[in-house]
Amino acid sequence: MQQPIATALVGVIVAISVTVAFLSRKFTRSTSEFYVAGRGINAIQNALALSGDYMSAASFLGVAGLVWAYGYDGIWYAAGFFAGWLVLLLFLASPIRRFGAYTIADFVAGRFHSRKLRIAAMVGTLMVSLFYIIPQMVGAGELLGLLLGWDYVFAVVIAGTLITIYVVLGGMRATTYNQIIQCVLLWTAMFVVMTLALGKFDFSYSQLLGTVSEYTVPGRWLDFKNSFALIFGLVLGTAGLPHILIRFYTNPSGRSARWTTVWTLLIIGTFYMMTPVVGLAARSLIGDSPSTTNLVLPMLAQHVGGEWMIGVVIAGAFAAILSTVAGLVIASTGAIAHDLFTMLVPGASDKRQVLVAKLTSVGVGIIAILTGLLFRGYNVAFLVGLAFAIAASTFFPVLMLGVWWKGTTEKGALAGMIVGMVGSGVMIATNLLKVHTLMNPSIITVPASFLAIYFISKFDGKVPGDTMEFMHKVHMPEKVHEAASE
Amino acid sequence: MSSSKDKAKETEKYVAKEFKKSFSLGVFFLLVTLILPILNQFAGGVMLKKLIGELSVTYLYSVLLIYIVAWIITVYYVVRTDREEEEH
Repeated sequence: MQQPIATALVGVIVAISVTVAFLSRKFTRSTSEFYVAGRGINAIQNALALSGDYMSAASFLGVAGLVWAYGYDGIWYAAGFFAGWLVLLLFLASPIRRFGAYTIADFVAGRFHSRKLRIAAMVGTLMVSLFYIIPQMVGAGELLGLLLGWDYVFAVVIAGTLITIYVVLGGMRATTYNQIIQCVLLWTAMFVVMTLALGKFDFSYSQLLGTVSEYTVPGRWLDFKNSFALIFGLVLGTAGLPHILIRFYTNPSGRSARWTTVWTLLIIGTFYMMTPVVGLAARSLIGDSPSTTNLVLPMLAQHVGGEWMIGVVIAGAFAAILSTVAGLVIASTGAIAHDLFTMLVPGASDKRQVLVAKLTSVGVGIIAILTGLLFRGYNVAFLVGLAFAIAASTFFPVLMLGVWWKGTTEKGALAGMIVGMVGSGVMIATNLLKVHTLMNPSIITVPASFLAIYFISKFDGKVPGDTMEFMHKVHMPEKVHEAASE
Repeated sequence: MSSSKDKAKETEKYVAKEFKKSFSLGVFFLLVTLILPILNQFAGGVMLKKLIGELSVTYLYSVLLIYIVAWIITVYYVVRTDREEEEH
């Protein structure tokens, strides 16, 4: 299927992305600029960028597709993707920003003064980011391949190359500005499709549901155990996603980090409220036509708005993929070029670190392309759900107890991260091999990680000597620190 | 020495107060969210009851109530924390 309008709109996005990166290139001369945009991104800018970062192909294409396929059970994804932000706000947003580092590994290594924890966090970051990158690249290949007539391989290579170029050229600042533009585009695309689709039912939500009433009840896909496990994993997973957490470092203060979350909750909340409408409208209006869940939204757009609308939706989906993968490339780059390189080569100059970061971004971009080619055909929202499970199990317990419990020790934190990371990996693999039926393992692996941290810390008892200094730094209001430094 | 002890005490007190606030709001919200699959399982009759036209209790809960509760908690938490930090 060839779509000249969509092709033109994708071309416009490409041109804007590269131009923004080119104009931002002077802001990548220091590591602070490359990783955290000099900590100068205000709350509303950051909220838009975070929303763009967070609303991936899974949110834009996947959730509507799952609602179309399974009705009510697909709505769990929308609610879970949204609800996790409140946990992030209440427990981690301000403390993480006040610590003021570049990566999650910086945070745990700084809290416990541990090289082993730095390595574990680095491995965890790469594992989560990879699981998250795969579905985005698969989404890019399927979407551009099927709808624009591009070859799958060509589409994946184009998307991967473009993202790499603008991360390397513009670092976090270009990524932020691009994510802001992409967020506005994808939110607007979803809103327009929803409005046009609802128009077919005289703008009556009730009338729409009446046409697909068998899809508005739970249980078409997930049983009680799996629906509970899924929502548990999604809610806690958000607070463990490295590419989201590192964006909090770009805020100027802890207060600003909190307001960033408020605006983000508003933007993504309104977005996720639209996805069930779109998914159910697709079920009602186009029935079983889509060949895959990932193409439900573009096909509905074509049905309700013709070629222009499908163009807008393809452009929106492409924007969702670009913004998310760029955030993941920065997070993965930080894990390798910052966490690993600075450990292996302590005292490397800032200029050398930036060069290594840029080379690493190219390497990560190539890996993103290769994994996109390898995992062709997988369901995007399902894969992202697994990334959330690993994030929830690996990072959420250690961050939560590291931030709030002064009794946490290095050995406890390490045990918790290993239990979470290995446990979730094994549980996912054994589910895929049909050894058990639990699709999202967080409900077991998150409590297991918490327990491991608690009991090993109690047994170990070697609390870092500067724990109270750390607590003071991450919890006390900025004005207390300002007064102390005067 | 005594000043660093005072600082530690003050921090501990502040962290405990902050945790109490975050924990109570967090647990409340997790209950609101995680109770939905439980209610669907054990109170299916009530949850499938139509409330507004074709919109059932469980549907409204999942596409509206969770969002509204989250927004209310968010604004309450942020405004209260800002005020407390200002007064500290």
